[in-house]
Amino acid sequence: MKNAIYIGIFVVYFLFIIITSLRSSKKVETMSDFTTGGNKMGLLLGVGTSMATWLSVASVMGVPGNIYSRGVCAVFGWVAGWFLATGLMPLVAYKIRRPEVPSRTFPEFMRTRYDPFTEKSPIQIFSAAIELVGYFVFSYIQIQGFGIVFSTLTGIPYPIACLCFMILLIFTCMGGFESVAATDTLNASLILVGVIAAMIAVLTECGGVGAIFANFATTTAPVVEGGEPLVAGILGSNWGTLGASVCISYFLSNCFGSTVAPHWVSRFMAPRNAKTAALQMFLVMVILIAVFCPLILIGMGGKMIMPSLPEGITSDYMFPRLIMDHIHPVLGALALTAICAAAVSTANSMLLHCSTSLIYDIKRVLQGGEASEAEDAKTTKQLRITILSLGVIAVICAIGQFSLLADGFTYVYGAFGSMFFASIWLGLYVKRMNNAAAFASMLTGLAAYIYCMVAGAPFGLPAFIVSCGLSLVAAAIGILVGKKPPLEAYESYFSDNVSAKTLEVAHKIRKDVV
Amino acid sequence: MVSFFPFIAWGAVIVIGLVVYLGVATRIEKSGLPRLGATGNLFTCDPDAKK
Repeated sequence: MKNAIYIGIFVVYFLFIIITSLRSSKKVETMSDFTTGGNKMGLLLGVGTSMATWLSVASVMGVPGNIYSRGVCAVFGWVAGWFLATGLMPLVAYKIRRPEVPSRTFPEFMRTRYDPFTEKSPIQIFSAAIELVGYFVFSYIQIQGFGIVFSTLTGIPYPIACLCFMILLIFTCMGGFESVAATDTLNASLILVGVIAAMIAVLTECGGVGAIFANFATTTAPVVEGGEPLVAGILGSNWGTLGASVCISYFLSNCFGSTVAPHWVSRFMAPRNAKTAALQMFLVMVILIAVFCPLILIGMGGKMIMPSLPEGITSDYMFPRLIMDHIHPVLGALALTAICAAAVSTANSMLLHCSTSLIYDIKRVLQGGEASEAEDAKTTKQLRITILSLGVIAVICAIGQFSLLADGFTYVYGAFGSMFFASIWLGLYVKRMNNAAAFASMLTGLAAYIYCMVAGAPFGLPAFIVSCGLSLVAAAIGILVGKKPPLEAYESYFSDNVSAKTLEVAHKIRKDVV
Repeated sequence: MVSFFPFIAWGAVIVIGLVVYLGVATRIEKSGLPRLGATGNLFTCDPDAKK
């Protein structure tokens, strides 16, 4: 009976997404529509898609799981980190969307800012390659996370669950940016309803917020049955089981890594103007409070309802386990839909980014040639085929090895932050930031982050501070040693009225059909 | 007792977000350019809506 309710609600959700995607995909007329919605996205759609992109399985499942296993410090390390990122994003969004002719993708922005006169720009291709790898990993984590949850709850075999997820993804992505944004808005509403439903169930079961806090402050139950008991009060302490250095490192990674994550930079190109880009992020931050309060209570309440997890279950799967064993099937089905919506809404953007990196920023640039409508139509078709192919490959990979969801995201965000922090923030706020400095900061940041992850950060410092700090030093040296960038590279990010030459260069980089 | 530090930090971060947005919106309003979304109001962004 329980399984039938889960599957029934999921089928309704499935149909909703497909209908919304098909409707939106009909609006795609040009390649610009496909990649950025034609730079004309309104506030409502912007808030919906940004909110849904924020909410991945890493947040919907990872946050309650981290609170359950590491304590209330996860509110600082993850939630406050992500919120600070969202709070700072208007500073990036305003600058990215300020040019009259904005870039369409993150790698294209890198070329415009650092290498505007090179046709086959190494920095555009390099950024696209990094984006392709990072977002492919993201997509597969989402598919894997969803597949495990859905198959566990419904009894449907894991490969079939992954296949269903792939069909959803492909439907939403094939319509391009507008379709992704429309389904994201629907997903955002479902996530909100789902987590509130789960919170009500948890509060009812626990007997209120006071009881949840009292239990959390004193519990010694191990995270996994048979494990070592926790020190009484550790879950309620400032730094929980993580310790100050690790907790601060997570906070910084989640914050600064997120502000410069390429998919966010691309998101800021789509709104109809700079203020819409900034306002959408501020509103997202406010609305997300309504999602994260329930997630925090679910994590804390979970410790009371289910003091230890069965052996073999990681804390990421605490929330699905709670749904399965302790929540009324209808409320549970809503919560399950929220997890599904979170996975779909994040994975579809990631898959779209993988596809645009490969076709728009690598193939189209390497191929060269003149702009034409026929060429644009061909590129749009190739983008769709690539999404389909990458979706299939991601599903095949998803059946492979498993990793902790929130941690996996943190590593990729940490790597993105270490690589792109200097080139984006300094590129938008320091005119002297040049190509040499951008390359030096990206390569140093990546190498330092990998070293810290493999060998450990020196002197016990947070890994992100070490790698990002070294990346900034490399950027500073590059600025001092390298040549001053040409006016066309930075003018549109620092001035409201730009020269005709700068506009001409921007159109040429985009290969606009005149 | 559960520490309130993480919650206070979270609240402070939200206040920072408000200040940052107001700074950006004020700058856009000062430019007066509809192309950037200047509307005369810090919390609206569609210059065509008032017409």
